[in-house]
Amino acid sequence: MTNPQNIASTTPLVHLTDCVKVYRTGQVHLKALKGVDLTVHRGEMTAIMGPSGSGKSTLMHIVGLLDEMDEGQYILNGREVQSLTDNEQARARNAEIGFVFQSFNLLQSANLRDNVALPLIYAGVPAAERRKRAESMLERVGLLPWAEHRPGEISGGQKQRVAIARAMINRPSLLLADEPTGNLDSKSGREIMELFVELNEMGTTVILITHDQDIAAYTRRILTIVDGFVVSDSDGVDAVIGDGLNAEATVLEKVHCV
Amino acid sequence: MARGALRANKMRSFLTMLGIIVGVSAVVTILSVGQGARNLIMEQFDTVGTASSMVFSRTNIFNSDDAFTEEDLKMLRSRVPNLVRVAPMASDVAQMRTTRGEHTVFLFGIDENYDRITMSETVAGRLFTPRDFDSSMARIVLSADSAARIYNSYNVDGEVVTLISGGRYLNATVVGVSRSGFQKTMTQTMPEEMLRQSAAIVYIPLNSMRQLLGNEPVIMSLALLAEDVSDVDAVNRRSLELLHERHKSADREPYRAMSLTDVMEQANTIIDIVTIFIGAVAAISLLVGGIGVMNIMLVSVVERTREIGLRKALGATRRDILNQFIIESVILTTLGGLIGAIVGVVIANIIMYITGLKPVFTPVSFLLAVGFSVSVGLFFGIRPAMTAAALNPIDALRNE
Repeated sequence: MTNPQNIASTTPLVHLTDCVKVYRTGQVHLKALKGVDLTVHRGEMTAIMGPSGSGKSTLMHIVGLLDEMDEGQYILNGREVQSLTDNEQARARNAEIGFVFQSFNLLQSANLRDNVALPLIYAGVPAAERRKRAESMLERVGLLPWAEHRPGEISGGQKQRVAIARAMINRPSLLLADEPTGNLDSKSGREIMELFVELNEMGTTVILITHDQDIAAYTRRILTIVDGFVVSDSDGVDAVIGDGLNAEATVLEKVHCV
Repeated sequence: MARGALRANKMRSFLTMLGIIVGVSAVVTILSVGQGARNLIMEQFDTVGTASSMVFSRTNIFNSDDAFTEEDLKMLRSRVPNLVRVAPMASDVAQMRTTRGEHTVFLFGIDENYDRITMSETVAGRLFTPRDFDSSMARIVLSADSAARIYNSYNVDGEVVTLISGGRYLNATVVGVSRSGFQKTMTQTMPEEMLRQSAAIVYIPLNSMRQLLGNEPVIMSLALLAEDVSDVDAVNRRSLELLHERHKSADREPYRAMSLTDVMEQANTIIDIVTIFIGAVAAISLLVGGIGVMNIMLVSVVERTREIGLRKALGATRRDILNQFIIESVILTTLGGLIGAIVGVVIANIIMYITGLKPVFTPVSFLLAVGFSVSVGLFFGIRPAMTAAALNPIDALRNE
């Protein structure tokens, strides 16, 4: 399944250049990203693939302003963001980015409506409007009748729908999903992917992290990371990198060629 | 938002609050009961007057060797400077036959000076007039407690009773009901078994008491009125000196004096000590409660690391997280404080029911207790909240 590429504006939404990230634990320094360039235009739907430990999650955390990089430059929606303070980054996350996690990360003690409305609290939206907007988002993902229920009372697929409703409620320009179908059965996984495609068709820029070919196939662009380098970047489902060893061979050519 | 987390852990929240509940309820109880006790003393003080005092003899009705005599009174009146008035008080026990049955009563034989020293309050009817003290017709005044106990009413003037003592009878008419601050102090001088047997206190002119007994009543105590409050101590000291000298009893010291201010001061000191002691226990309890709150909040931060990471990912700033945890802590302690205040009121009321004391609930004690618990929440909540706020979102999210 393919979806039409939306018209991208000239300024990229995500413009990351020469990104280096090193994890330091005691004497051990582990270079997770070794100079990654990533440019994503508005309206794109991109999959980032790679084996475990390849650095794909680290890349997503940096793109999502959850983690700092050691070297490089990051311009998000026209704004240079790596020098922002903690609070400015928090505000940028709130306004620009919606997150969907593999393990849903819903608050067990809150009902679905309050879970969905959570980002609006930090956006300073008044309670009545939070409630209205949360209910309208729940309706869009087909879960309005469950608004008063707790996350423990619904299925995994439904939980991920709630998480997507929460990610979308503040109308972010970028939706970041980390293995969003990883904890779901194949039917629920398909439904969730169809929801992502629908959101993308309506203009939301989506970046997915996955190690699953079938999931990546929903996107037009697949970017593969191996061992801290981007080893391939391709439009369409035919861009398949085999295993990490093959990828190593092409690393030198592909680096910095996003 | 903060409330959700507390509701989700009801049992734990309650146990966390327990220290605060105990501390605050102790504070509210002791402040209100203490104030009630103080008020009771002040009431007595008001009815008695500040410049009055009493001199007791270790005499009782079974041993009247050291009883006061008419000569003692004359001597005190003439030789004690600044002594305005002296009233003898004779005590005895008698049977009183009324329309409601027969009762054992305390007789307090007094003269016309008594009311002017003790400033008795008229509850119903009237007090004695000068004529009553000379009249051959016996008239009596009942204490408020006695009237209530025997007649279930204060409207007893005109009731005729028969007093019986040592086989002698005396008919008397009730003219009124009074309340005296001295009453409690006087009953303290009576042997305990007599107090238990006796149902009522009856005031009777010394003259009529003499008629009933057929001999001179035994004067066990004297009420003294000094010129001014500042003279009370000197008047007491001089009176005791003269009495011991006259009775050649300085070695045995059968007389002692007590001013009402002494009684008050003693009682206030006891109340203060009890208040400080229970206050200290309450403060320790609040401190321990506060540490409990801090402990549970630190556990909560560790448990909810993922939640904190999520909130940060969704746009919560450090301050948002800091506020959330401080608010949770303050809600815990404030709720504990309110519950503690209610428990304190209940306990104070139970104490009132048992002792007959009137507890006084001042807004100050309430505000103090609740204000203190809010501060405990703030103080002990800051550390865990700072720990939470300092978490790095990605480390927090990675936490399983």
